[in-house]
Amino acid sequence: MTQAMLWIVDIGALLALGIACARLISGPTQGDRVVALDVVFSATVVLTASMAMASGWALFLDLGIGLAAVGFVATVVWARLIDKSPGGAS
Amino acid sequence: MSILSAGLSTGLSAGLNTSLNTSLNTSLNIGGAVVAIAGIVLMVIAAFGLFRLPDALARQHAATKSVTLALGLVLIGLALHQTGLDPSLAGAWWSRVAVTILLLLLALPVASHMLARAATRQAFSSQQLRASPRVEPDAQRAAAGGGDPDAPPTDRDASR
Repeated sequence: MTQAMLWIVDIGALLALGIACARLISGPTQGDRVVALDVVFSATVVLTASMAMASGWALFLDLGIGLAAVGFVATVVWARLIDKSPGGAS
Repeated sequence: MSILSAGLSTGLSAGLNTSLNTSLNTSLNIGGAVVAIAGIVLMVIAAFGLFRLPDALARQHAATKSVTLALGLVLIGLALHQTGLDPSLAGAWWSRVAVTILLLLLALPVASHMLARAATRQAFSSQQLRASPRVEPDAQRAAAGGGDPDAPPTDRDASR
């Protein structure tokens, strides 16, 4: 049962990761790319939690905490970059 | 963190070993799996919304809020499942899941607000940039008093 749940969670996280990567590559504006990067980081945190359960090491959850912090910093910095850049550039 | 983790671990494992039985462990397993699968379904739906919605602000609306909820549901569900499987690891799991969810709840509203503000300012300026050369010849034509509206387009109009 644990393996079935982990399969479902991993397949869903990889599906969300693939869709977000497609939006990250083909986003028409910079805001779409930043939102897609946010979804990519969230799916990666889910993958680390699944890895922690599959391997039995709770250490992987610390990786999830670090990924969440790095994703926050990346989103804020990219949003400030869009805000300060001259308008019109998509 | 380690002191908190050790305290939570001993407390939870002692409580679970003495007072709880295997049926509660099974129900924790099933409930955790249901919560985690609901969260991952919500995350896939949010990713499809990111892919299918037409507007930039609509895509941010689809992505930020529901992904926060989905990530919280998946983490809580996996921690419940792990508590049902092995109660000695429950303290380590719950403390780290609490830190992650607290970080998400503090960080994601700030990040999405800054993102929406930047996108709104950029869309407003580019829309004005795109709209001004089209409005200007019409205003000049109306101010000159005449000029039939079926006039052949000029080069600036054809290049639009």
